[in-house]
Order: sequence, then structure tokens, then C-alpha cells
Amino acid sequence: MELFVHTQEGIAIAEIDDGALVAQLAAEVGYANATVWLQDQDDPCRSTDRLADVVAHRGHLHVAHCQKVAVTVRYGGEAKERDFPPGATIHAVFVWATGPEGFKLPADQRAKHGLGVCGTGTIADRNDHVGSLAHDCGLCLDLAPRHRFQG
Amino acid sequence: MNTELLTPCAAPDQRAFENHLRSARFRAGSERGSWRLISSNWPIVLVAVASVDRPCSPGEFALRCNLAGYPAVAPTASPWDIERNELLRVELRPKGEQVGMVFRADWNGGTALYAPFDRTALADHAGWAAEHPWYLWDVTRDFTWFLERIFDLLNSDDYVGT
Repeated sequence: MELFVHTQEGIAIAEIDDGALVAQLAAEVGYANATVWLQDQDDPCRSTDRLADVVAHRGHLHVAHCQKVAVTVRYGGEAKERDFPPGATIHAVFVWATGPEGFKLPADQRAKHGLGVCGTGTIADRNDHVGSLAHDCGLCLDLAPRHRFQG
Repeated sequence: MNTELLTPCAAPDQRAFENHLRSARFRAGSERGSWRLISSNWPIVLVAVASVDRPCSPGEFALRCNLAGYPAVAPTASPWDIERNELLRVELRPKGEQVGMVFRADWNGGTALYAPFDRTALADHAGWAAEHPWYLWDVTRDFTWFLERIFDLLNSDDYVGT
């Protein structure tokens, strides 16, 4: 089977036997003894599970040594923090950061904001995994107005 | 289109582009249905980018991209009507405060995207490089990054349909 495997290095395609175990995939991508998550799932896969039983062909997995990523989102001089599994997408962070537990942005304002990695000029895309953007199991994001191009 | 095939003896820009088509990031977007490659007649590449559902609006928008000089030079893209093989008419372009500005038809004949990641627009706006560094093309970017900028616009709450 072919899988999209996300790690701290980004995303790669792994071809692996249907009968392979979760732990074998981690070793195959150079992360022996690391933990594997399905995208946007809170709980990790068991290392003894067969891959074919937990993920479909061309599904997305995240492999990481971090058990969680401490995400900080900065907006308007304030910061909010929450732990996410490494396989959480930036879209999930955006929903939290703009929602009732976050900065409570009204719908019209949500449309006008996006997330970027603090101090880098890097846009965090909705399908990126927090674990791929994290350093030392932490990630700082700025919730910033989307640019309006004019002039 | 079979992205596994590379054109023999292709020029460096075409070769770089075809290599990027094989990247996991591009293929993941294709697999998700975020975009699809329609045709490539180098340096012209026709691609469609999916949009979120809006009443009486299409599920995707096509772009006719000129990728000459890729990746050293940013792409430039014309919103395109695939069926008529012509520039997309204004009434069929995506609307929204920010989306509508990027897809505006009243600038440069509507032949390029009004955004810093389009080389035609950037060349016409000296201040954009300093004002919008997050959206600037550089040699480390690739076509997937360009498509992600468009996909992000067409799947935001700002996009209201055509």
C-alpha cells in the first residue's frame, strides 16, 4: 500500500506491504520506536496493529517522537495555548484558535485571518501537520489578517 | 496525466516542474481533490483548483499557467474557461472581498492573478515585495505552494461564489 507519511521533515510517500505493522512503518521512515498517529486523531495507533487495519491506501499518518505538541497561537497581543497530537492539521488548530475556546472571532473575521509560523514568514497551510512545523515539541503560530492585495 | 513520466531532454525549467509534480505534497493535494493537472504543453500548464461549495457556482476553477523559468521565476496564471478555451469571463470568476481582488478582470485585461505570487502582478507593484513577504515567490517555493495559495482563497469563508 502507498501512504502519505508526515514527519518533522515534512511529507513523503511510503510504499509498504499491506501486512506490515505500525512499528515497521515508523522504522521504515527512520523513526524507530516513534509513535504513529492517524491524521487529526487524538489517540496514537498501537505499534502492533496492521497498517491495513488502521489506514486506507493513500491515507495520511504522522510519525513522531513527540507525544504531543504544545501549540501557542498569538493574536492581538494575547496568546492561547493548547496541546495537539503531532498529526493534527493546521486547519484543526485554526478552528480551535478562532472558536469559542480561542479568540472567538466572528465568522466574517475568521474569513480574513490565517495562521503563520511565528517569526519565519512561513504560511501554515491547512493540511500541514503541527508535528511537521514543530521544534522541540512546541509550535508558535501567529493568527494574522490575510493580506489584501491592492495598490 | 501520468505524473510518473518525465519528458526526455526537457529544458531545466520543465524538468524541475516535472520533478515537483512527483513530490508527495503535490500528489497529496491531487489525491485529496484539491487540484488536478489538466494538460501540459510547456511552458503552459492547465490546472484546476477545487473550490468550496457555493450556490450556482462550479466546484473548481481552471488556471492557464505560464511557468517559463520555473522555479527561478514565479508563475503567472490566467483564470481560464476550459470549454471555450479562452480567458474566463468576469461573470464566471470567483467573487469575494479578497478572492474577487485576486481574480479581478479589470486589471491587465484579467490575464493574471492580482497577487504577489503572480510574476505579472508583482512586476507591476513595486511595493508588494516589502508589504507581502509571506506571499512572495522565491526559488525555494514550488508549484504546489502556488496552488495552495489559490486553494486557500477558494476554500475560505471570503469566497462567496460566482
